[in-house]
Amino acid sequence: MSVVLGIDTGGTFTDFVLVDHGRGSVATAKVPSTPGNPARALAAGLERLEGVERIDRIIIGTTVATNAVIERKGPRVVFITNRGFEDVPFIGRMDKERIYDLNWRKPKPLMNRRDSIGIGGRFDNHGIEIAPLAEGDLAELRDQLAGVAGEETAVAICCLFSYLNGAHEQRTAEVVRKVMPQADISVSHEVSPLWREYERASTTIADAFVKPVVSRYVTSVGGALAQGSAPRRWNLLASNGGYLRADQALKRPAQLLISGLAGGVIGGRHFAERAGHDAAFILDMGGTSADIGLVISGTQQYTSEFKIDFGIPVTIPCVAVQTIGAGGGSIGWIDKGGFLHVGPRSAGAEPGPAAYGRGGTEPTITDANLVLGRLDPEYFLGGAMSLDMAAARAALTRLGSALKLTAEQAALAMTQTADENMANAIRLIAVERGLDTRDFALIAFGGAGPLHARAVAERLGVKTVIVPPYPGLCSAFGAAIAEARVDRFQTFFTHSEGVDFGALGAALKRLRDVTVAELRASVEVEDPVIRGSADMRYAGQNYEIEVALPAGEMDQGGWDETMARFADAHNQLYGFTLPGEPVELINLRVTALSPEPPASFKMSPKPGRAPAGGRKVWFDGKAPVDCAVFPRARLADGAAVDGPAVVEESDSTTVVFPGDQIRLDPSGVMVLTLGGRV
Amino acid sequence: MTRKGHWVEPTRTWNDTSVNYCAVCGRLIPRRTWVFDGGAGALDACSPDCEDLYESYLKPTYGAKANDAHHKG
Amino acid sequence: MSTHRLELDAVGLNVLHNALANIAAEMAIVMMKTSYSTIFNEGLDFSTMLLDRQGNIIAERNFAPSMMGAVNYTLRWCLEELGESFFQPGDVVVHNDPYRGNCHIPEHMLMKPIYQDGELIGFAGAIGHLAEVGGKAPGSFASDATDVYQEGLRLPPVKLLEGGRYNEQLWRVILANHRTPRNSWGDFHAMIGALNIGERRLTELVGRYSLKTVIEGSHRLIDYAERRLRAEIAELPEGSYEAAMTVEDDGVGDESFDVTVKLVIKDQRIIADFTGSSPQVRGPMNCTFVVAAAALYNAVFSVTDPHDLIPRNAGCYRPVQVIAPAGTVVNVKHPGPSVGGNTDLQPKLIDLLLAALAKAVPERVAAATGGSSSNLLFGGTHPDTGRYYSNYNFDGHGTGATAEKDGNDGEVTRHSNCRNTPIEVFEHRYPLLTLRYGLARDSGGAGRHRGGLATERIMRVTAPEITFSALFDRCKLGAPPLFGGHEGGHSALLVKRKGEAEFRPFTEVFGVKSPTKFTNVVLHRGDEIYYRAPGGAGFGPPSERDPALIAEDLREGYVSAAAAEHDYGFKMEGGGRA
Repeated sequence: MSVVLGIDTGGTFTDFVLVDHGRGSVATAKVPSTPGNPARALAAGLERLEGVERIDRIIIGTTVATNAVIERKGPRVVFITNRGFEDVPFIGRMDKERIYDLNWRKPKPLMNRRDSIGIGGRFDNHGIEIAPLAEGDLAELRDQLAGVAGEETAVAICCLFSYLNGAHEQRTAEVVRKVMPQADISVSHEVSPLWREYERASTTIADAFVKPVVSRYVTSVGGALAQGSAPRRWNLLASNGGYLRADQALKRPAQLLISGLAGGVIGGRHFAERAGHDAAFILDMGGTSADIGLVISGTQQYTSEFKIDFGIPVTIPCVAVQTIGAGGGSIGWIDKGGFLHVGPRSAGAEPGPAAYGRGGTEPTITDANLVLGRLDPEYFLGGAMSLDMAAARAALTRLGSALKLTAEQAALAMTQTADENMANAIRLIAVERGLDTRDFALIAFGGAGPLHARAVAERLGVKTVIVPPYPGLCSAFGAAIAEARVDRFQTFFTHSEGVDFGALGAALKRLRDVTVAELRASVEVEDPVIRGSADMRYAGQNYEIEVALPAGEMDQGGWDETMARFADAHNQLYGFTLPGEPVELINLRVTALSPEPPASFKMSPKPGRAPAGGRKVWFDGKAPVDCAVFPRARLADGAAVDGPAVVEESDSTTVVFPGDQIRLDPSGVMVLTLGGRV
Repeated sequence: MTRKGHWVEPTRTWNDTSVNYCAVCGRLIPRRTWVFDGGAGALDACSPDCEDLYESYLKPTYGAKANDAHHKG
Repeated sequence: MSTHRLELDAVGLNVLHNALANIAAEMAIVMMKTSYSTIFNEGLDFSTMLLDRQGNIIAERNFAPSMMGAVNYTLRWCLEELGESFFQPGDVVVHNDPYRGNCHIPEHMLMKPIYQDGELIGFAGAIGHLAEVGGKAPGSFASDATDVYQEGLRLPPVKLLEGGRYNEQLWRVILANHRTPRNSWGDFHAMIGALNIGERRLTELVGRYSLKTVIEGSHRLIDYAERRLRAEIAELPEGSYEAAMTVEDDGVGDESFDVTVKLVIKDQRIIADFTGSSPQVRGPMNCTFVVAAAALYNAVFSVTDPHDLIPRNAGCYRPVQVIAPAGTVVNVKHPGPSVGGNTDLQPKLIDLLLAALAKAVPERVAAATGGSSSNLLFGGTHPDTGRYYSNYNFDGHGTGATAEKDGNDGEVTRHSNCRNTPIEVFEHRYPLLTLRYGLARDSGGAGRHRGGLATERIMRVTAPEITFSALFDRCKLGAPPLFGGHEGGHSALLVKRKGEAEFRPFTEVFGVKSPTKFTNVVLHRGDEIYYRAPGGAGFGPPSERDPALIAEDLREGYVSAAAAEHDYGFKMEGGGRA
């Protein structure tokens, strides 16, 4: 039985959740982050955890890679590609983020144009070498690289059609290694063997760009963990929500680019399952933004392209998460036509909401919730901080006067606008996948998630809101329960009018072997679970649908089954099929994982301080309502309590509307059932 | 602004493929025409708003005009 | 009857606006994911919309700004011409008639009436560029067409579906006149699928909030959008601002033609008066009325709403008006051709209008972009599959510099937001080998801020034969600069036959009339094409450019040492990048 520590390093706080599967218990800690020296926060948190005898496994979710990309703080990247195509990262896809903005700056890739080197050699679209990579080319490359001296340099290599044949990339990498033994090298057919050269180049460049910073991070963290009860080997949470041994993660650090977001999705999915829901939206709402994830048939959803920013696409397998600018610090403002907007501008932590008393004067969501009585000014962050009601009220009065509303009505308008924005984002996610939001539950966490979840749910026709225990720690919890998991994909074309079963079977087997080998490098596993799928479409369409491949040999029978599944999926999504039309298979995907035993521990809410008993809370624009206020622990007897109510805990506050019911499920989650209409 | 024009219903049959355009702004005249006297003869317009536009802008800028062959398509 | 109450206050209107915009967005997703032509699904050359019973837009999802004029006028004109009773439940009406409100022959507008209890409550609409619609050249881009009949099959408003059933006779005619009927079939179905989703969702929305609330709310949103835009226009200095431009040729002859505009800003309205522009030309460089209108909306939004804050519905088009005399190059009459007007006159019209606005609000405009879509169309039988294929390729030009910054490199034209096709996808589909795809050094016009660089490409034919058509522009006259900047780099379109040493113009090698506009030139295995899009123009005198920026241009290879010296009088120690 293992003791697993999950850690989530956020911008402000680093959270720790220790799950003891043997005893079925959980311990937690929260310390301020130390971004300049992450090891310090880790050491501090380890000390803070109580009653720890040993730790069998550590998994860390980190934003170190993401931040490096967003802040563009990284090495000089030298990009090597086919001669004549040096500008591929600069041309990109040609489209604009904002159509009418004449001053929109097209984003630069993570490199300078002078560092883009073209070499000889070329493969065609069948993977046939139509021009060799000659010794003369390599000699010239050596000369050019010898001139790159001094600053920290990483090298990204991406040649056309390398996903069909990586020989030229390999050869080039060998040459680079000899000339620049210190440099980190990323090779596109290893990082992301998918077609579409710009996205693959962008991913490979990002991989090279973050290698040095991730490497330093791993060294620093390894040092901190080397002391005390921590195991020598430790793990990082990858963007696909699985964990990898830290030294393995270093081989393809692009995998870490949404490490910081994956934990929340894993945690959210777990609590959805605990509450008996296999279809759920996950809403993690914090200070600046809300991250939205999706669970279907009990599984979190994945995607294979992530845009860190417009202009930096990254094709790695990752949990599907969408971030929108809606958080506690989002500012309410009025446009020239008199319409109210909330966000995406945020007051951040400095100056922060008006109620923080740090000089902020613009009204934020936190200010609105305070004025509406949904937050207790003396119990914010578990009492760690007190909020200035007068300042919040003043900011909202100013906003209200422009709208001819009272401060409370303006506050309500703000929260409703933010709720509408979040509901809208969720709606579009559902729409993209042909789903009906009414079939889903909503899992809410983060500092502000449980405050807004009920209102967001109502807008979506969702009837149930689930609030996990320790809603502020859900990401760390997700890290603690993550499985060892490797996802790989490979572009491999097959046309239904001429399937080469031998080649297809061989390609699948190769991909499976590589994936399982990578899994085994992180964890000992006898019988990994292996799943295969394929991206398919009607020949002529441009968007693929992922179809699970049947187990067993890929023979005529297996293929027929696959085709049938594709037709069903197409019909499900779009409402029609094209019988008789040829179908293309574009990519193969394999997942290998070492499943974790189902978590069976209990997370009992900390007994909170005695509540004020009740206060007035606004639910509509007419008059406030007397509302019971109590700590989460009060629900421990399992009885359902009718709304209106405000349930408080140190991480967050849950708002229950009149007509709703809330109860604490034996599994430890709070279940809010929407009733009636507001 | 008092308008002097009036609507004229089209006499096209369904198999007549010709179209007509406003002599003031150039928009298509989908069906009925607003005909008014621009001071130099009749003008076919797409709506009474174009009579206003003619009086307030086009005539002061370019002088009076009448229908010519050009606006019929 | 409704299941929910919605107050039409500021919050409630926002909710309604989101709900309507989401329906249009959902329609767009369906279209994108199920269509066949890459111009739809990769290029995103389409728009979806919801309209009220009178044909006013209440929400749109617009990927292609060039369609703004059509979406604003087409349905209203159809309703006016044919009457409301022409539309019946279960109908889907199609039309691509350039003389009746469409952009150019390939663009097809589909409209579906939506009913509740037998009463017409609104319409779902979708407009998109079909890749192949017949006519004299594959890809329906006849660069030397002299009338609409050479451009493709023209459809006045007719019913694709009638009472929910295929109007088979019409489909047979359409499919018999398109070169790739399977693609047209797929694309039309993608559009119909989108319309069906639009109908379903609008019906649900009306059920949720009541028809009265939805209609009243939509009209308030329209009024709100109009108010917003008027408030923005009120901040522009009133006056009459003129600009003129010359376009190098019309595709058939080599005479240039002119467009002049007088932009009048008064009483919170903007009128763009194109009186005095050339009469319509013989070749397909004319544009239709709705395209001129779209160009004006584009220019106006660029200076008043660059961050897309004003909802796009009928209201934001009301304060803005075009005067485009019928029979001029900006409002072509039957039977004048117009396929290139949308792709190559429109971007120049936007730049022209910005040049006029430069006299009012110089800090808000930009110098001219390359201003051409660099259209290259080709088709043939694929040697590997034996199947017929055709493709419409366009590429990125340089954008114009502004008071604040240099132009962007390799960006799509202002009137669209299409993406390029990845080379790996391109070579998977078509028998052409790409030898180079990059940015052309020195193609950005010099200035205090420099114009953006254009893309260039070299391709080699790897099939026995491929038939090419092209509509390029700005090969003789570069993009016009502002305030003392230099013009943008010229485009180029050249061919090198197998065994020859040099690239030469198509006029020399094939005897076509125009070096940039021709149809149906057959190339054979081993022949190569080189093209370069036009560069963006500069803003402000080159003498005022910050030397640090010029040094960086040299180091990054955007500008050559020779050009740095010639245009900026700048010499760098140690030389720049080779």
